Amino acid sequence: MGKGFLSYAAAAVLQAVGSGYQYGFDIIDITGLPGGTVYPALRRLEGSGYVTSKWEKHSIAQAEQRPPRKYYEMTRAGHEALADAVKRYRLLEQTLLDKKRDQKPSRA
Amino acid sequence: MPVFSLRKQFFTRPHLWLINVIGVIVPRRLRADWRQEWEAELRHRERLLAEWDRLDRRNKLELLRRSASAFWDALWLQSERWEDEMIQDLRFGVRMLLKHKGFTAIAALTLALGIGANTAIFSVVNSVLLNPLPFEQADRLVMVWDDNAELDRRHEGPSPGNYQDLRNPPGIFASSAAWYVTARTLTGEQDAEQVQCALVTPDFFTTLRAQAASGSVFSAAQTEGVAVTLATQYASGDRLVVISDALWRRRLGASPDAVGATLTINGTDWRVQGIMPPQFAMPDRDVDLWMPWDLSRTYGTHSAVGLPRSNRFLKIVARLQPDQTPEQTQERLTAFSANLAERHPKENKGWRLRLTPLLEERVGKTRQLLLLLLAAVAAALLIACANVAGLWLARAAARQREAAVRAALGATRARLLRQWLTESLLLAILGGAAGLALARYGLTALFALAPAGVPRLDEVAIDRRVLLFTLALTALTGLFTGLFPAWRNARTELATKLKEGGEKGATPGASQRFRQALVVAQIALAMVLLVGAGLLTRSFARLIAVEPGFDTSNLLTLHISLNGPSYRRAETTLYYQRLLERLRALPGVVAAGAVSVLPMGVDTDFERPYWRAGEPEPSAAADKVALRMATPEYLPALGIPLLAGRNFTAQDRAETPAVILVSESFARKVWPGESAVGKQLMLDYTRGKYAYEVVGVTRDIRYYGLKSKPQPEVFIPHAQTPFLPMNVVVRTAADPLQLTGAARQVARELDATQPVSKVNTMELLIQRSIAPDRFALALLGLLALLALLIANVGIYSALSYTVAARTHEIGVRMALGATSRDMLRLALGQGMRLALMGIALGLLSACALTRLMQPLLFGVSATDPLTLSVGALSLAIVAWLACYLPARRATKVDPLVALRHE
Repeated sequence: MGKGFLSYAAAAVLQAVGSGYQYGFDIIDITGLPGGTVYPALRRLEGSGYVTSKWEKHSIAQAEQRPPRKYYEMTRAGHEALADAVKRYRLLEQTLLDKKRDQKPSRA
Repeated sequence: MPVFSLRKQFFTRPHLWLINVIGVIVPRRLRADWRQEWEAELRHRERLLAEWDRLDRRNKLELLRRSASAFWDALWLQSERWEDEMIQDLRFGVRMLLKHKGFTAIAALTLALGIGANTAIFSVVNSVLLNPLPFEQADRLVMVWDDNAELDRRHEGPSPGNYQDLRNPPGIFASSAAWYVTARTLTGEQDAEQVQCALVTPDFFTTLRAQAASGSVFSAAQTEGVAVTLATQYASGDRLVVISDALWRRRLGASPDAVGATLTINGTDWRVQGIMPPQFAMPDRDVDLWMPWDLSRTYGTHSAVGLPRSNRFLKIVARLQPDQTPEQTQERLTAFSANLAERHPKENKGWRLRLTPLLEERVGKTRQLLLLLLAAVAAALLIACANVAGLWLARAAARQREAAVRAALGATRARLLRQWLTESLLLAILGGAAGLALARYGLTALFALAPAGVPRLDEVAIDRRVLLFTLALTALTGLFTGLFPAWRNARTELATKLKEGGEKGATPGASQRFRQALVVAQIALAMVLLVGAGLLTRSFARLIAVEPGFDTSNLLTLHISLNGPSYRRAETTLYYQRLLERLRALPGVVAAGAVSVLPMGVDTDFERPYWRAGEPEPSAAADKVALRMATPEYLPALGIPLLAGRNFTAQDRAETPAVILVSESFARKVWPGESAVGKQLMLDYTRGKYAYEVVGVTRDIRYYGLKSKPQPEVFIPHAQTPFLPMNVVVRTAADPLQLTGAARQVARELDATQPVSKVNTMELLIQRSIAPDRFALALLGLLALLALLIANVGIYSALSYTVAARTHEIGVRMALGATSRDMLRLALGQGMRLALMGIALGLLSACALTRLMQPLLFGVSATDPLTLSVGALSLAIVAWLACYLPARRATKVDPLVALRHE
């Protein structure tokens, strides 16, 4: 995976990870993008080294009686790439994140 | 995940089940991880909503939609497959194929020939036999025929009177129509041209549910009261005509304003009402005009008793009632025939109406030829497969060591099997792709070779069904060629293989036996094809050796269909007399005559009832004889000898007593043991029932082509019964085609409005009549040669391999005193044993299979002993050669070298 331009969707996903939304489903809710877009974007970002992932401990998941989650975290390279992308998609923050943050995760 | 829990999951949590299913295409390395992540995602969703069982339908669908989006995620991961085992196998397979270029090229070419031939023939079968005719619900269309078993007359068209009854309610068919094809002449600014015209009853287009490309077809209401009668050129009401796409382009320059334009047909003006689309070819592709035809008016003027019931000539197409099967309709038709025979016993006793699917009627005899070819190419592909399987087996033996090393390094048996199958499938795909390309070009060649009579050839194309066929064939080929070698290779015990050290030892018994079986199968299949081709060769040789009964060389034939109001009886006679005189005056012309029906099955014939004068008239169902109008010069021009009596002369005129000539078989049949000359024969023809004096007897000729026996015939002087359409035959001193221009010029000078058509030589006509046989022979012959070649390469390589594998053994034997002669005998004997087994097996199968070819054969039995023995002998000789070369290598083995080989 090359370190070229981030697509709009990938940038949105990266932005979401950077803002502390760490699981796939949180990112889906916050970006409003479908799962079929978010997960491939996460894989691409991970392939480019912009995010890293790790599975949460089994014990935690078991305690909460749910399957273990996979956490994504932004890397330093991810921060730089996001800064680049935000420059390019100047409207990203207002139009996407602000709007979404006001909304309840309705698609749940 | 175990199967039972998966199944349970499908009912309890379908969204999770879907994730598991989609997960199958995720590369194995990532699969568990991937499934877990998506499961977490979906369980999270589910928890946010409610337990699955308590969800409403909308939310359930929402969850399913979410799980389905995992598919895109899974697809995205496909690029990660590069490191998967399958890709490894593929890469390795490609590398192996590239490394052994010679093997790859030979094996792929063998398969390409087999797959290509199958694709080409199947695409023809697909278009001609499988694709429906281009009509709406074409499978509901049938044709109706009249059969009489007692009189041995089959497949005749129903008579107008019977057809009219058939149309009466209650309708046996949803709708039906009749047609009759006749010739019409177009005149106008361009040269006069004769075209085929179908006179069609009003329901013709509605029965077929055919629409015009522009303008419209006739509707029943529109054509009511419009009539074109058969005998004359009379028409009442609006003169409307529907034309073919071809005529529209040829005659009207594809003009957009053609609808409503006027065409001069047989001297009167007709308005073009519609133009049919190019694919409309009913009754066949030669028809350019469709004219409305009113059956009752055709006969209404001169028949008090209604339409005639014994003239069986109509072609009927019908659409089945929506709720009726063909069988049910046939039952009703049979009952109807019985009723007809009861009401009109004189005309209908013993006759029975029968329906056949329209498709079958259109395809006709081509079906047998195509199925034969399909069987032949399938056999060729089997040979190719067996051959390639043999090659793989040899490779497998050579690569035992590789397999052993892989196994030692931890490859499972399944993995080894898959590796091999990947390679053989790759090779098959290579062969399939090349085969597809071969088929494309092969089809072009096939069309060039194909006789003119093959119907629907213009519809042949490599469509999706053909592509699927080729794909399936390729996959099967890959499996068939690779499976046994792969299985062999994966099965052998690791220790043995490593110890044996590759190909030095003798091959394992089972593998050897399988190779031998493959060789036997190839030889047997080649034998069947060879016998098939041999039978067609013999049949064809018989066919061209048939004596047609007259001298066929240097004969030019041309057709003239006189028309127009100016040609009545006397004018017609005069026209042909003048035409023949002028033709005879041309330099290089030896003789010229004219006849109403040319030999070699070119024209449609007509037959009339006859009986000896003084005897009572027989029933309508009695024998009929074919009538021909001829000028006095016709028999000498064709070289038909007179056996008794005299020929027609210029003195046989309209006002002199009616005379006829009869053929020898007719004379024998009617006056057995007596001389026919001087006898009176009653004929029911244009003069009514009338006595004709036999003045001469002609030798029989094969009027209906080389395949059929001479039929009884009666000749009537053209001057006494003038006939408008005639065939002129011109015997020339040199190449008859050189006279074409001059002959056309003579006709144009005489009357430029009368077109000359169908200019041919008699030899061309004969060639054309045997073209389908030539076509079948050429294709099957080619296939048989190919099969012979491939099968012998198979036996050659199998024996070469055995000799190479047994070098050590041969060395030991020779060291112990065996001579090189013994070795030759040993190797040759082994190869020839297989060949002879194959030949025997092939002969047995040939006897069983070629029986299906009988309808395509002429004068040869399907189990012709000569063909069988010559085929077996030639195959044995070629197989001996294929064995001899590797066997000789066995004699060249130097014992010292062979033993050191160890």
